[in-house]
Amino acid sequence: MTYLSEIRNGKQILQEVAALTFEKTYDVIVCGLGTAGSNAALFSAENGLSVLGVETLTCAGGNHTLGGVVGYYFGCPGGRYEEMDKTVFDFAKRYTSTTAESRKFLMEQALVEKGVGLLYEATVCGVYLEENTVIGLRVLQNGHLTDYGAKVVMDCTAEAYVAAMAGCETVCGRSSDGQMQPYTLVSLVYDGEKYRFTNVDFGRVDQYDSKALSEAVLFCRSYHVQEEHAGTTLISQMPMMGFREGRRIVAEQPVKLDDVFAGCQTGTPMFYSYADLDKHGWDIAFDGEGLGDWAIGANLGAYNVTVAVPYKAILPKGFDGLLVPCRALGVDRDVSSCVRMNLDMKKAAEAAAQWATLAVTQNKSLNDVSYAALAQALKESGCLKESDDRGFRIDGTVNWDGTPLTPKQVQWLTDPAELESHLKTETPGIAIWSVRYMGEKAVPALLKLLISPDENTKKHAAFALAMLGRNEGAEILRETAAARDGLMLKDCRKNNTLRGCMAIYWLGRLADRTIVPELTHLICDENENQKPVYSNGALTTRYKVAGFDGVYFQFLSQAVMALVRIGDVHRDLQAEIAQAFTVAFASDGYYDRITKRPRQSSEGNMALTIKTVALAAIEKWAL
Amino acid sequence: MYEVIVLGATFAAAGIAETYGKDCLVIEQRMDAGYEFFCAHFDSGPEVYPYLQKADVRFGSHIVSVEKTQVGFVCTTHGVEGFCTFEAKRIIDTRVTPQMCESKAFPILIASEEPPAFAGVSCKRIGETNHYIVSIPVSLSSGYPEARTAALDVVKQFSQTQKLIYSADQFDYRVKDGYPKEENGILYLPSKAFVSPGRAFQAGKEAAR
Ligand SMILES: Cc1cc2nc3c(=O)[nH]c(=O)nc-3n(C[C@H](O)[C@H](O)[C@H](O)COP(=O)(O)OP(=O)(O)OC[C@H]3O[C@@H](n4cnc5c(N)ncnc54)[C@H](O)[C@@H]3O)c2cc1C
Repeated sequence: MTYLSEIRNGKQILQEVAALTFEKTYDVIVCGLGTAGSNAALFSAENGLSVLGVETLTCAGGNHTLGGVVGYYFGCPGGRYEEMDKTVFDFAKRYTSTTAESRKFLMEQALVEKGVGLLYEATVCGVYLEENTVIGLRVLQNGHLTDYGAKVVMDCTAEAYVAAMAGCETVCGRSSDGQMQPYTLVSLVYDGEKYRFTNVDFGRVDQYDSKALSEAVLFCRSYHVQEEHAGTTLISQMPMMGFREGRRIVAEQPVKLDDVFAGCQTGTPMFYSYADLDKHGWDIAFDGEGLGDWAIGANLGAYNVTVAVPYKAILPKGFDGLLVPCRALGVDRDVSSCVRMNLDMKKAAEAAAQWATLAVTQNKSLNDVSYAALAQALKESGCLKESDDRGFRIDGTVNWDGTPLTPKQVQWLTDPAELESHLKTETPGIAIWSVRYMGEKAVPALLKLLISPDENTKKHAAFALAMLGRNEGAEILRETAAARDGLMLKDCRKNNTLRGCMAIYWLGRLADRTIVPELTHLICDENENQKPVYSNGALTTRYKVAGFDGVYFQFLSQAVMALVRIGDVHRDLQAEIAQAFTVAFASDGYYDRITKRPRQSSEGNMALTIKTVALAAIEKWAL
Repeated sequence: MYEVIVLGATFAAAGIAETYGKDCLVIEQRMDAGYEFFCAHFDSGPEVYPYLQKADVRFGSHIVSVEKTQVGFVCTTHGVEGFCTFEAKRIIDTRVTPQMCESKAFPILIASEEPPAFAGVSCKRIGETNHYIVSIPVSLSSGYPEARTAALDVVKQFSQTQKLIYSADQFDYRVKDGYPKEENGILYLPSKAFVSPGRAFQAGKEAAR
């Protein structure tokens, strides 16, 4: 039976199709010729497949061209994209101010030369399926609908549009409030010497709600960003919106951050992803516990992780004929902030092209293609290298204080006797996290360190014990929270956490009842932001944005999230906590204390999120 | 039902939006506005947005069809929520189609130490800067790949002191005489029929009256 699947007013509609004639059938149709899609189309065509590309914009390259995102954020170099990159960089040196411009021209030229059919200003509005196999697409261009058949469809829209239309299961947003990462408006500016792209972050938006999306476009494009453009001439706001996160498919073989931390990685990788878990926004309090333990609880947010990405992470669960080699691939939310970088996308594109080629040339379904043949091709090109499996690393060029950073491998501690020497420093993160791997054998040493006269040692030992779910250090955590300990730990080159916030985080994770009055005071007191910690400029490097009290924001957001966690566990405290939330968020006082910026700005949106999370908890507790 | 649905988030649309406010729905395929002039002049920046903010706008929405009904029109779009329909008493189409045009060009913005000169191509300096708009004529039937091929031919003639800064992502159309005009109850008011963003905006305001 053949079906046409469409989305109408946000809902999937499936209709049986009696007779179906395709205008033309291709080996591969790529929807979305962006960072991944343009490469997937090119490599497929180079492999001898017939390819059609459907793109809503007027050129290829997506984020890498019309999005103004030209750089590579970490990643593991190697693979077929390198040839195009070399051509692009050489051309840019001589003829263009940015590589985005070179790529616009050269990528398209290569696609045309390889015979890829290009449909610009076009979109997919229907998916043809035989049971759960995608066999074609309905394409809309200039008001005309045309049906095309395909042996393999690649959804490279970054948003899983085609997959969602086909009925594949998708997920998006974080569990606390459903929100995605803040979006960004990228502009091309001239600073008198260079032409460069600048990013201005805005709030979080549901880009699948057309009204919210449109309001966000209007707001960010009209927002007067004087500070950000100071001393520069605006050449152009980029036509693409900078959405950093979107819908993701539930894949045949999903990637989970917990597995990465536990060292249980796939045996069928298509490439290795390598970056930090870059959440981008500062309201990391609401990003969940998997990431929270790492980034807040151990202050390792900017450490790089290596993720082996299985080839079946681009195959939607239960489907065939469809691959999703783009940002919408099947990774969980916590790890999605790493596995989305430009290099990852090009590698996913290469894997998809090879996979499709094997399926088409061997006349097999995608599910039946052997991993060995795919891996061989990916190894030959350098896309997949075992040496890319680099574990956890400190990487980058500059430390938090501006001094040069020497990249190095992270060695987790295995001997409890080593803990003290690390915990007494202002870089205790590796020791705190190592305790996760040591388990109970670390406990005797940590209990001894709790009574150390050294402040760092005992506080960090309390964090480490909390990592194991143990509350022997709770009193120290409470004191640290009550003192609003503003020491910024220094494990990371960026995004370091304040120790008082870490203590509050762990008290929430331990569901500590005793801290409730202190946290209630923190969120309700109108003079809280007058305390010394909030004006200690030396501590606030991370949070320095004009019109935004980032330190107060951190304490307030952590306190609210801790109270939510405590209330979730202790039902008898829910009414008291709900009452505190009602008082704290009765007026906009909390907002004004955090920021003077508009509500749709990044800072304004983060401030509002605190209230949203608090009110959602009251609703959840049915109070 | 809206008083008016405007097709295209153009400067003309901004004029209409200013008059009708929330009784007006602007539908735009792209994720930006005012591009019809921006691509030609590389200077009309974000000023179009505050006007559009007064209306309802749907970005990222392709027009599927516009149909006449007894009381007005139904417009079907396809965007992030799939197919959607909107009703209005009036439709004003501010977009340009090749059929409306007598010619089109593909503009690129370049930096040049000396006044550039390329055969068959017009070059216009922006103010006192070293930025020039190089407007490459292309046939009405050309698509973007053909236009970029023509642009590439020009770029490859660059001297050592010339660089391509930004190429348009829209054609610069020259609209035939005879607009605005009404056909089957739809007002065709291509924003690009007017010489400047300001004129297009005014024309939108007048059409809305
Ligand atoms: C502001 C910003 C800064 C970033 N900085 C970096 C960085 O410095 N380094 C780094 O490595 N990564 C960075 N990233 C991440 C990285 O750029 C993206 O994750 C990556 O480009 C995603 O690639 P993609 O192919 O999935 O999507 P895209 O490149 O966005 O391509 C998607 C394509 O699909 C098209 N499309 C979408 N919907 C449809 C549809 N319905 N029909 C037809 N076509 C459609 C789009 O127009 C686009 O061309 C950044 C991202 C953002 C937003």
